[in-house]
Amino acid sequence: MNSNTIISNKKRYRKAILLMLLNVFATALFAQNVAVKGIVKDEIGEPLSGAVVMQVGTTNTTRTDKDGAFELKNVAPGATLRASYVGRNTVELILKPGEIKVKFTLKNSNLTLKEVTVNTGLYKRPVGNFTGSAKTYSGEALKTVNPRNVISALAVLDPSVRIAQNNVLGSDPNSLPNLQIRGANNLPVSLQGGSAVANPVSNGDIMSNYLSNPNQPLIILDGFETTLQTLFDMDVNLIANITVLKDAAATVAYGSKAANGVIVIETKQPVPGKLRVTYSVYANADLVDLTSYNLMNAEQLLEAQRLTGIFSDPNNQYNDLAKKQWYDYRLGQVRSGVDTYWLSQPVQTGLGLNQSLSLGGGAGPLRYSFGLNYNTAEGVMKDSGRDRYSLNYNVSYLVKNIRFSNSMAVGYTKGNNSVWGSYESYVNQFPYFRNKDANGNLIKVLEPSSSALDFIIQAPGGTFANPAYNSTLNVKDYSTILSLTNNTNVEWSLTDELKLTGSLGWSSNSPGAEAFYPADHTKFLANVIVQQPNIGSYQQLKGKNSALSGRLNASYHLSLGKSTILANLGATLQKTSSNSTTVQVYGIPNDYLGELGLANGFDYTSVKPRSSNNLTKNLSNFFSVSYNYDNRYTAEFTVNQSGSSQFGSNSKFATFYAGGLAWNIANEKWFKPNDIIQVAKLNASIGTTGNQNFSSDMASQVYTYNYLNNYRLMVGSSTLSFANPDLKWQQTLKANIGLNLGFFKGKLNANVEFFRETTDNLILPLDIAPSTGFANYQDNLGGTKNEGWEVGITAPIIRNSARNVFWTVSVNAGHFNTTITRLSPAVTAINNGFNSNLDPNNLEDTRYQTKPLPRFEVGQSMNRIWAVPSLGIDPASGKEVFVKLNGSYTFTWDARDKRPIAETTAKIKGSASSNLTYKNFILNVIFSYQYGGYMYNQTLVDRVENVNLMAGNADLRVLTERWKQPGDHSSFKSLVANGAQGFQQTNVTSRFVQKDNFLQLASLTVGYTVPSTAKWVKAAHLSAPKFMITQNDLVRFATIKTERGTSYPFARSLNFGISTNF
Amino acid sequence: MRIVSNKILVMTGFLVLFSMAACKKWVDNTPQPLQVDESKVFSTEQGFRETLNGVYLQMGAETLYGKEMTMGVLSLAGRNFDVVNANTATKLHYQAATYNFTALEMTTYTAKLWNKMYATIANLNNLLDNIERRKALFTGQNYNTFKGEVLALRAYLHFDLLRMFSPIEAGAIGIPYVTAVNPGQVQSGTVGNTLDKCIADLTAAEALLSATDLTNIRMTKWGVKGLLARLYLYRSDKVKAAENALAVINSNNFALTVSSNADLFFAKESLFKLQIFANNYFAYFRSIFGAPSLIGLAATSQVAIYGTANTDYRKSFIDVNTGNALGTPILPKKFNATAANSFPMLRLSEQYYILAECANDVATGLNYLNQVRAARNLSAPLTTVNVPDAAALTTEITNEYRKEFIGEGQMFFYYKRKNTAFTALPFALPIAANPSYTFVRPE
Repeated sequence: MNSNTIISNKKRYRKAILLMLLNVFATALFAQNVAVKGIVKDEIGEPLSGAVVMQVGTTNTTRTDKDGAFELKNVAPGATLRASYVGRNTVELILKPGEIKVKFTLKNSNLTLKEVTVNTGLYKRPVGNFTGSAKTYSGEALKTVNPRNVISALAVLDPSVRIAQNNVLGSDPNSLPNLQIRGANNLPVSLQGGSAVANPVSNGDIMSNYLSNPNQPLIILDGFETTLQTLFDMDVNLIANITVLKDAAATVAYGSKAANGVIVIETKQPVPGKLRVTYSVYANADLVDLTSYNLMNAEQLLEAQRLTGIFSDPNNQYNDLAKKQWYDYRLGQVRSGVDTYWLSQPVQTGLGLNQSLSLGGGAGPLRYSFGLNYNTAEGVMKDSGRDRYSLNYNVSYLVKNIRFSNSMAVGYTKGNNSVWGSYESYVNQFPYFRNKDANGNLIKVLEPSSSALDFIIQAPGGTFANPAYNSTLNVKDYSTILSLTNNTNVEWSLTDELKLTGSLGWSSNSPGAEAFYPADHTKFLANVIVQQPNIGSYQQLKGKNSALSGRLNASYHLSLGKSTILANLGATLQKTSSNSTTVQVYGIPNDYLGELGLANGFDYTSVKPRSSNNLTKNLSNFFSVSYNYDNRYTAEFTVNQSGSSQFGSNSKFATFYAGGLAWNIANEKWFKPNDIIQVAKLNASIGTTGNQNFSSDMASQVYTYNYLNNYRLMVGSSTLSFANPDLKWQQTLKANIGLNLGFFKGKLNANVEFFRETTDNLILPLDIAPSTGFANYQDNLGGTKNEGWEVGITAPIIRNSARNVFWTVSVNAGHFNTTITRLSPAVTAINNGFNSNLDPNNLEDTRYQTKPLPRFEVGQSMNRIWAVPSLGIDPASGKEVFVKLNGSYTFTWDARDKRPIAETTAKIKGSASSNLTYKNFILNVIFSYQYGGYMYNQTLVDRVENVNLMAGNADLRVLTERWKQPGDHSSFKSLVANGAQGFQQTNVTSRFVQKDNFLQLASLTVGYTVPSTAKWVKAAHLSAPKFMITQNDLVRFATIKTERGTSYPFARSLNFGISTNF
Repeated sequence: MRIVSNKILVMTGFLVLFSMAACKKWVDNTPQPLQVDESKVFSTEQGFRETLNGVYLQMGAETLYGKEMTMGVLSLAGRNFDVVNANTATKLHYQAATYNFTALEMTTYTAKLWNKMYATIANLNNLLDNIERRKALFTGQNYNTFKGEVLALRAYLHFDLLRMFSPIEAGAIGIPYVTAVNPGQVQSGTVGNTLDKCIADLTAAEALLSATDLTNIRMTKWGVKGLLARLYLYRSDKVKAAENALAVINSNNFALTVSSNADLFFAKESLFKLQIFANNYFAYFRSIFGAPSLIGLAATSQVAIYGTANTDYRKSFIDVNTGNALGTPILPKKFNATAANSFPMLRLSEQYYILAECANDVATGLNYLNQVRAARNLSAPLTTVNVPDAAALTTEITNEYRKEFIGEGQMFFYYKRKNTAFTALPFALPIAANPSYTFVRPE
């Protein structure tokens, strides 16, 4: 429709109305006019209030009340009545003679602009014209689930979004989550030439984000790519909605970046009207969860140490005696009542406050908004926390048919790491050490030296330092990031059908980190004498990242009869650059000299200044067309062409396609209106998407300069690795089938989706003949297959708008499984390394096999736990009985006997929620659950069997539940008396593979909206003030008990919030 | 109509803006700071020189000519030293001296050697590829100079690989002659094929290189000629060998003029020498001759080789003055001298020896030997009286090789070329079962 046709239509209407009026006068002469009563409902039977009902050809009009009822007076018999409602098909009805009661059912029309759209970040498309798989969550919904962490709220609501639980970093406020959508299509990064650990980095650099976690989805903020860090630090009040794009049809417009799925964040746009001020404040308390720790107390520990033989030496009477002296000394401490509870030393209740103020409004062509946010959050470790400050504005101005808008955001985040050190150092600390001396000062060295006590040998375990002592020093350990973003949009509506959008986005951020450890810090304790002038260190990181993106989009919309065509054409250019420099200096004697420049010098022999630089250029063009016929059939096709500087020189450009079909069964004529099913829509899509999360030097021949050597005082450079000019983007073929069903007039809505993602050109190393000059090179050699399903059921049980009572219950579940379909021969060598008793890279590491190491085999799942099958503990000897590959039994553990034991990926993961609104009260409960996965209980085996009692405390079960004497039926093997080392070792065994099922109360929210009729609300000129209390991770039932959070403890959080408008 | 033309205009604008050519250029032109992309390196002549320096630095590595292919493994296999203690010398060196080439230490080393040599060759090939692609960049004779130097070095490295990893017979299996950077494996031809390819590269290099360039710290035309003489002799083509050796000598660009024992490498007489980075070099030779390895030449053996008289400059190989009374090992003067880190790869004296070996009669042969002997301060010439026949001449040539090239890694190749019986090798060191002059190759 364009404006011309509307005008001509209006003219035609006027003529018709005149004609009709004549008719009306004519009929009025013959028949008595009546009042017609009726009701207007939607297709699921809900009354529509505010629908317009008119007698066609007259000015006789009325509106429905809140129950959808209407009464139109003075209607001529046999007249045509028309009911219309925004966003719905208009229905006309001819009155039968004598009929005075009518009923209208207005179906959703898919083509009106008010209708729900899916925002892919590049273009918006009405749901009816969309065939892909996408889910949209409003900012409000996310805020209700978790007002402090949008990412974890998203993971609770959407079964396809998963955050890997981090048992090491726990609830560290400064650690970014490891995020995946629909599982992983990549092998671990270390295989693919990346860094060893897949931990997200928070340095604000787009590229390094992906290199560290190649499975990370693409994150789009208002049309431009952004970092996980930005989303993590974002004020939840700014978010209008978040859309998770999953399948090929939804994501293919992003081409070579789309394979991991896309998260699209749309921020709130200014709303016209008079100035509106919104203020919201959230206070939160993080409560540390120490229930999973079950440590020995002073007396128990000393006994366990004695049993392990730490205080005896059967081979040397002299040492034996000296060690007994130490035992007696420590026993004396225990007897005198020393039993320090170290766990509570570094923890606190973390308090936080998040205040947001926003102003917005606009009249005529101008709209504006302005926001301020201050968010401070303490962690549960003392002195740790994250402070965020941000400011943003958004202005838009409409001139004729061109809308200009500009938005700007400035943010500053400072993350403080606890100066108290790693939580593990407190878990490990011996309870028979005093924490403070008689004067209440923290003790630095926890035990007197052997010479002070006049003992002839050093204490077993060496010198113990008090990590808490560092809290008295001026230690600095923090990171900051200052970010600046400016986006400009020009939207030009050439006609009603054709719209052009041009955007230019610029973002820059400067990460920094400082770490200062003065000479008095306990980390230098062992080196005080050796490195005297060089103790104390200061490390500084400075970086600068910037991204410049430009976008041009054209969208075209055409309706012809029952057909609708939507087309979008777009191009995106992006240039990112990042660099950072790290400098470390040594020799700072005092803690008040905490400056880089006050150090003694560089320790240039071991620590060099480091710089990293990266520059990428990307280009992406897409064309997407969607065709809808009669609201019944939809076909969509999208093509994308991506180019990137990261690809090999022979394949700089990649083309991706996706197509989808949707069939709205309920709109078929043969689909009779019935009381059971009202909505039925089937959609299917297939297409390819790419992944370019690899380092750019794999594809181009790089020369390295040799500074250490020279050839006759001339510098030389050589190339050491083989660049593969044919290296391609990784390509994933995604197929998705979905079915939407609505039952019982909207009382039950169900959504089922099945997906399959196959990747068959993963980048892996290939060993080549050494006479080529290189050991291996990277090529597209690997393949994975990922299959799964997602189900969502929503049941709005009560919808009583009259009494303002609503109750909705929903359940969702998701499953996926990734298997390896192709590998390069070089992986065999890697597998062999994982299968040897000693670490091939570090022969000194005797504890190499105490953790399950991955094994990659075609046909096997990527997330299999490989361990040696165990029959348990032999009651006669206390030793573990293993099953060898040939089925025989042995006491000897051998890495070659490892077998795939269980799968870590849960069979089902999902959530169940209940939303209840009763008058002004809100009660929101969300449970998240997981079923059918397994986990190697690393913390259990490490705290009970892989213990080093000489150096650290351990779980109480070391003493109580390990095998002691023949006949004991224990699940833990016997302690081995090993006085020399105190080590107890258990290599990876099926005994510690446990079911990882859990049900947890992820979020409980209670809210109250003060009625605007309340006196004080009126007096304070407020409108709709709202109170909200949210409690996260309140209760957890799990089949596996682990110490959650080794270097940083887990926390439960309680939030209290108020928001109001003025 | 106005609207339609507007649409067309806008769409065309789109297409022009994002036309493929512009896109490709934009995406392509992404230099990586700090990491130097080859397009950057090869954008100047200086860059080509730097990558050639990189090749020389690679050649100077410990595994290659910096240590093992000169004074290390090859000197031990060439029986240059008699003091090789099974307990103190590194296992690798002991296995090399006893011809136990299948021992783990040796196979590990030869695999490393193979990989490193080919890695260096790959650098040369990538350089050559860029020389051809950026031909327009070079000024003057530089295109010829660079290309000639690269081809010559490629032949030098392949020839040494062949001498180590293949038997000497022309029909035996040769080595892969790699001429391009490519992940595909190049099959080994016969020894004859490999030599043909070396000759082809050297001939091409000879044509490109200038006769007036007398720098010897790089591979030049005279290095090529000298190498051709060495190579033809290896395939027993005495006519061509003599022809090339004579061309070097008759050019009068190099002369046997050194008249002191200060520099036992006689660096001024080198046709091609490789500079090893000094810090590394001194560490390398100390690791062989110093404690705890203590490999060396006993005083009696020194006398046996150089005679009782002290006139021969080369007898100063071990200078007792550089040791001390406390038993600190005596380091060979040959390696310990200042500037000894310019290691000779091709020497003029070898050209004389080649001529002596190719001579048709004993007198002519002795004449060439005597010229070198005189330059080494041995005034009494050898005559047909002492050296009556060809066999005696061969013995004298062997002796001269041993004196001249001690610790330079050439003797292994000499014994191999002469197919010397293992029992006839100097010094009473044990010989492993099934000894061989061929290293074990890793592929």
